[in-house]
Amino acid sequence: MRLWKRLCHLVHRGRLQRELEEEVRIHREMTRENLRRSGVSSEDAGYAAERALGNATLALEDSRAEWSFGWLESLARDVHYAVRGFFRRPAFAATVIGTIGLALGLNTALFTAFNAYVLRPFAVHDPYSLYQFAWHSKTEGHGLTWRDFQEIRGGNTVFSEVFAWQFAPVRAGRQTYFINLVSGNYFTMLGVDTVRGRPILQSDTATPGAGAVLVLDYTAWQTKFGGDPDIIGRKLVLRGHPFEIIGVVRPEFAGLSSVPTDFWAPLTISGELVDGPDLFGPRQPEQLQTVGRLKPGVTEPQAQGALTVWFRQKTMDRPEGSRSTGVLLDSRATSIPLTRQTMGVFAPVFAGFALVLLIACANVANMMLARAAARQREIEIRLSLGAGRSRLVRQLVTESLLLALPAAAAGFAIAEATIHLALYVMSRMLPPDYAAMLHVASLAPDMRVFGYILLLAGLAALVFGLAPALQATRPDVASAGDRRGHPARLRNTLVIVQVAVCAVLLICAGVLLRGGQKMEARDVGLDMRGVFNVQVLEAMRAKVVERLERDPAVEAIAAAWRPPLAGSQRQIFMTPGGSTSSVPAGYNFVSPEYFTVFRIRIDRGRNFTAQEARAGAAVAIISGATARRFWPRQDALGQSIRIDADPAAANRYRKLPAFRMARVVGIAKDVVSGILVNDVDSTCVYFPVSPRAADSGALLVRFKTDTDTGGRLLNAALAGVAPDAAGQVISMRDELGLALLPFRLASWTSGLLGGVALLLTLSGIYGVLSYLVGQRTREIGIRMALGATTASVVRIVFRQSMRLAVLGLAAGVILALGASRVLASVFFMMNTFDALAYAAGALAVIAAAAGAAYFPSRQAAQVDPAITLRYD
Amino acid sequence: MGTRKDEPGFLPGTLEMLVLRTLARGRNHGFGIVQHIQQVSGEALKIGEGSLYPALQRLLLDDFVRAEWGVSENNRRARFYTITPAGRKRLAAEKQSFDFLLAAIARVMEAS
Repeated sequence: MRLWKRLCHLVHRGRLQRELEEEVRIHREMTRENLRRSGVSSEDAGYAAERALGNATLALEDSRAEWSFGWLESLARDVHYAVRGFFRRPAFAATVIGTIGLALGLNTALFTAFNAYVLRPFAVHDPYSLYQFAWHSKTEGHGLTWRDFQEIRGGNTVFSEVFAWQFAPVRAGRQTYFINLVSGNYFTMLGVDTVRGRPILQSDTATPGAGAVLVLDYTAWQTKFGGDPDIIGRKLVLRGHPFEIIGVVRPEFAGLSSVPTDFWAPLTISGELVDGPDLFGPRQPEQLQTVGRLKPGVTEPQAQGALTVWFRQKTMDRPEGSRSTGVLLDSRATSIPLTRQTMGVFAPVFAGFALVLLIACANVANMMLARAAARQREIEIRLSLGAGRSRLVRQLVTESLLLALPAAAAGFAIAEATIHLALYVMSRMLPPDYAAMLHVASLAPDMRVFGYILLLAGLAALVFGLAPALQATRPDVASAGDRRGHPARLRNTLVIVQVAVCAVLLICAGVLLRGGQKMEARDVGLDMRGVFNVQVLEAMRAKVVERLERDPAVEAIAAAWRPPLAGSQRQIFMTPGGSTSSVPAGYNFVSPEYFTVFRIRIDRGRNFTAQEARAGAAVAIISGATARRFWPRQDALGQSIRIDADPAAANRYRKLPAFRMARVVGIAKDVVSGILVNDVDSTCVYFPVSPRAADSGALLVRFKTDTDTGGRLLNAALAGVAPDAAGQVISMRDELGLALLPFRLASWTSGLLGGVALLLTLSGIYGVLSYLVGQRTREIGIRMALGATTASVVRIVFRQSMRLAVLGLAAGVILALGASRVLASVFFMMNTFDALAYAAGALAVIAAAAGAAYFPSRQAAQVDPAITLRYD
Repeated sequence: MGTRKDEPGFLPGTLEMLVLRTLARGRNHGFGIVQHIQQVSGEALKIGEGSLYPALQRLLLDDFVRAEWGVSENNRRARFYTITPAGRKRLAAEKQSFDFLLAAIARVMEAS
């Protein structure tokens, strides 16, 4: 009702205003008349009436205020006023929007990726109750067997339901399909349905071997099958087995896997698509991944406890090394569970990006300060006319927020562009098979991203708007004459903060760049030129080896259970001859050609013989480091090693020696065969295997040609054997590139942040110095009139610049030393106290400060005393 | 919305109550309201237009009074205010709480 009347009042504002004015005027006349009647002279009556009635304008103002919308109306006025101001000085507004937009854009790009992988839940029913679980023994992690899955599904107290799945990459012609083999309850448990056809149901997984059907991923349907409308019922031959496509999953769901999924197939058909022992046979492999839905009211620690007990009991009768020592339980609500560890990795990255925003804010705050100084008279007049300080601060902050909004829009566009550029660059750096993995999680913005950028923009506006607003409206500033001291101090502080933060970012970037370079230059000890890692199907192994052996371009074919750089080394317990203590040591099965293919020199002793390889003889070649570790004071050659692992515990993923004792026949050069950052293997024991033996692992093929030609020849050769002879084929050069990717990404990202920070700091120093020169023009003019040389004037500006830079730099170096500790915990293999990185960072900051001082100093040098002194 | 400004020395809302009480006797214009309050209070309460007109605007906004243009006793154009039924109800409520407050203050002041 009141609102309605206010609105009516707003519409008829003009007429009502006039009426009110007239009413007040009549009131005055009546008062005057009354006074006159009581004998006061006409003139005195006028004054008396005025006195009695008070300030007429104020009365009108107050009366009007009763009808107004209060703060809403003053906000509208502030907005109107601010927008007019921006249009009057478009360069100022554009600079602010550009600066803040750039920083917001970078931050939002990072958040978009974080959101896609860590925050956005999968589009399934109640994602937050889904947990993936597995168990581990002393040395390694274990999946579940089919029997484990059946048992835990039927008889556990913490999950209402459990599904199992298995990953299978299947190559068909030039195409590699990523297939998730899932138990029959997968789709019903996740509450995922199809846009076409039907999902996989319990009836498809009735018996092992049943269910030659495929459910297609929506994206794969669009990209790999051209969105074919008649896709349902189509037949697809995979590994010689015909499959029928029965459904297309709705587009919001793309699987729970960390690689993009093309198809879902019933787990019961696993035998046709996955090599190795039968999932349902007598010796069931531990290769199922399992996800359960927690019963309502069951907490994560309760589930952890129950599972720990369950697996411990289950593995009680096993040998020591393969008993369960614990359970891994991870949320499956998002691609990457939001754990303390995840935050530990992301927090320094977010901090780095946030620092760039801070520098941008400092820049803008300085611009706002300068602007506020220019408007000081206006602000003073308003303050002395009785405007409330809070009202003025509100107005100035409104202006900041108004600048932040378009900055958020610009930032959003910059974020999108950054993401696309980053994806493009990474897809160019990755081998094609891996490039598809960049598209696991959708990087499309959602409400969280919009919320984040708005929140960040609002915070930025407060940071860059509030300080200048408070500064400009300080009551003492308005009354007392001292106007220059404090704003200058605030401005200088802002620049020092900027320089300090910039120095931190540059030093961190330097550390990461140098670390990355060192990693690139690291000698892994393996010659990878023209070498390919071919994952071959067991059924095709013999044919492929035979075909490649005939190829004249092929120099050697080796087999390795664990090819180099494909993950951390596997370990088992071993006891060196003459010792009593069993120690964990890295091991691998390789064919004699392995040492030829990678040019690994055998320093002492000999290579495996072809016969030893065929027989899987009880001999070993050890790395130099192993020899020194196992027998520090004796000759390792000819010694024996006891293997403390039960051969019966072996499976496809855990190949174990068939013997309990091995004799050392050779000592090989140290190489990096595990993860790159771990440096050369601290221990590595090679056991012999033949490339033709079943389950001998990947084939490593060395071509006499360069890598590119080799790749073409290899593909042609493989196609000649069978269209689906091989799983993945990747050159070792690409494999090394992949291993280096995290370092390259870290270097580039930190380099980009450092660069942007340097640019912003440069412009920040420039802004302050040129403002300073503008302010001190008279002083400089007087100095010059009194005989100061151009050089001395230039020196004043440079000295000011250097003072700010050195103070900031000192703070920055101290902060960087602190940050190094944090950095060292993430990049543990880097020298985070790299003197060169510190020196380079410092130099860049000093150079920027000098560069920023150049133009202002020229400006100062050109001050003409004659003109300046005549000015006022 | 809008801030309430009362003459210094008035309890909040008292001015509105006095205006309503005056109008309860019959319709009147701004000057008449001031005069009446001044006379009846024995010149103790002098109300400036700076408080009167905002108060009248509040009463209009709340529908406690109506306003229309008319002719005064001296044949002058003036805006006349009339109390509405809602205004009378309000007046009764205000008077009651005011009496209660006065009695309470009196009790406190006279307590030994």
